[in-house]
Amino acid sequence: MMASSYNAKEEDGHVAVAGGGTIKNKKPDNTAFKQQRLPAWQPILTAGTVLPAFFVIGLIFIPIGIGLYVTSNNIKEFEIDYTGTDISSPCFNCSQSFSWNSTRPCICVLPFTLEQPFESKVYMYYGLSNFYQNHRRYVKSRDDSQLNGDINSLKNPTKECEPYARNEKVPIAPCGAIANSMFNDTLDLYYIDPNGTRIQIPLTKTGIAWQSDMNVKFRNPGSNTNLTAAFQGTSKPINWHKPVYELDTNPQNNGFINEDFIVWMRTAALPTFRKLYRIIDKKNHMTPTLPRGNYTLEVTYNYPVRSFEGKKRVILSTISWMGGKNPFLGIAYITVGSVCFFLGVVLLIIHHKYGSRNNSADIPN
Amino acid sequence: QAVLNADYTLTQFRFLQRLLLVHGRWSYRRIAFFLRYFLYKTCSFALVHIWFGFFNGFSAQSLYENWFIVLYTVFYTATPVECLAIFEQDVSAQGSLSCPELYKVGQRQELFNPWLLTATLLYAIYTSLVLFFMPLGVFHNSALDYQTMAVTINMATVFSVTIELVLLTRHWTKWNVVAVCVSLSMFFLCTLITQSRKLFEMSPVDYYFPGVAQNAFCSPVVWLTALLTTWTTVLPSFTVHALNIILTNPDKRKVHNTNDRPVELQRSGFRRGASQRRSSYAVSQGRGIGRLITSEGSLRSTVPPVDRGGTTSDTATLGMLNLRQRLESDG
Repeated sequence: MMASSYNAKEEDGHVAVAGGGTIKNKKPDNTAFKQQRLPAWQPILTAGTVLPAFFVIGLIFIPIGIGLYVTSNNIKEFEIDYTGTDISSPCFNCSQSFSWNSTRPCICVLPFTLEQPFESKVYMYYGLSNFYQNHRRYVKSRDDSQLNGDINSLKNPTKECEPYARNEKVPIAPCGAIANSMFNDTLDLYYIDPNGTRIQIPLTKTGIAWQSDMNVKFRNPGSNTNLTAAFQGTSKPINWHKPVYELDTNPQNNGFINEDFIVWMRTAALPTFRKLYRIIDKKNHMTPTLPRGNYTLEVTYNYPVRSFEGKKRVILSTISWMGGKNPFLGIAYITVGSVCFFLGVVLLIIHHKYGSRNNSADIPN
Repeated sequence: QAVLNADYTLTQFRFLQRLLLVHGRWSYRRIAFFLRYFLYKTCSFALVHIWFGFFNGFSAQSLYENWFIVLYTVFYTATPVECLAIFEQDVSAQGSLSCPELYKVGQRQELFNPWLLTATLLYAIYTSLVLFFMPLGVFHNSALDYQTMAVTINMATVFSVTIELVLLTRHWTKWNVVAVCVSLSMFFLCTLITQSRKLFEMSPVDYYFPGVAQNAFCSPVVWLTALLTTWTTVLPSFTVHALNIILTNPDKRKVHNTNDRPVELQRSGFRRGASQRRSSYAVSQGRGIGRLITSEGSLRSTVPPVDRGGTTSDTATLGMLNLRQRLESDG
């Protein structure tokens, strides 16, 4: 068989063929790549190079954590829950007797006191709990083409919006469960000054949505001038009181580009979340934006949350470079830095006890 | 025919020493690291969804954009581990030949056994827990949205698995460095591209994260969260490596310090016809042949050993056995 004609004396790779001549050399090229001789750096890691890394990282993380924690503590935040679960709460009546079809708005008034003045620009958020904006069926229930102003999608919403795509054969604009469940409470702030007069605090409703959403993702269909005509042939979402082209009197904030709508459509990550509602601008450099004192919050209670045991609240907060109040990040940095430092110490002890024994045994080359 | 069926074909017996001690050793090490690392990086990036399920009503909502899932395995993490699998050497060729006892690592299954696989899986579970719960703590009750959280976790995942690979790689060629740098920059580039406004305008259904990356990559909270998460996931692995370095046997480290000259094939060695030669057919999978080797007997019978857990390398063994018998009978 084949093995009998094998001649081990042949050179590597050359195979003698009967009749003279040799087949092409099958030896791989003698390049550095193919012969695995590429110049390389092999770090010789010793305890002396590895242990300092732990201490360095620990020493970097702990000050960062302290800085973050201090920054977070300097942010002022005030939260009021106005769900009305408790009988003593002013909003108890509104939360009980409410239904989606009610036309008469229910208003409840909550007084509160700010112990410390809020100096810089104040952001007013509404927060919801136990509201799963990250449920898969909910997240995909929207039509981005329709929201982008595409006329075809306006009249023919995508199947993803089912069952909120059509209302008795008339297409819904905007379609989908996300739009249908839009938050529609109205919140107003009043300051009670020492004389007893009620002053309404001016709330800015523009500038609350992402710039990329405003200009790119959401566009009104047709031209911006006559929205009523542009949305002709569509109906409002089932749970809305007003159609989408009546969301605001300001034409720059009406229709799909209404900022409250855009903020709501940007779905939250977790069941407990907050969304930006209004901004309270600083009046001038002398007075704080929200001075110390008594305030009242007037809520037009439209949004029912009792059925799924949700909670609603208002949050007033100042902002820093790291966003809102977030003590977790600071504490986490300090914790991880300390753990790292501690591990470094432990490894140093181990190295002194056991490592030096090994290093004394030297093999002569 | 044996040549066509065999995994490895040698033309001369003196090649066997280099094949086993150098390339066989390296190959075992590379394959073991490659498989364990693949298990780790895929599990840690996928198991995050289990933990997210607890917070989204178990609705199987994905925490990542589809494009990230697609490109993660292809662009962001594939090339560095391929370079590890091609170039990794723990000891130079000359060192491997001069210290054949290093080969026992493969025979004793030190780099790839059920315990190590379980440890890798547990480490992947730990990584996924950290990758989810640290951003959860930051994003809970905050104004940041789902898409920003997705990008944050994306960044943390890519950084974590890349740093894990950096810790694993001990033999840095320029290709390794290039692969790591290219993969990281591919992550940022591809994320910015798939989340750009132009692509969204072309197809809103396919590119449904417009503007997120531009927003997130400028946010200090996102970066700080990603860096903290990355370091926390890498910490156990770093500690284990440090422990290994502190407590390790210095023999192997001395071998590192030998010269790195390319090794010529040794011309002395196996002489044809020597019948008392101890055989050194070492196969790193399967236990049947291992018994043969450790018994230090020499192969004189004409019956080839039957290996129940055999792989295709059996054919090579058979082919070489036939060869040897023929040579003995000739000489």
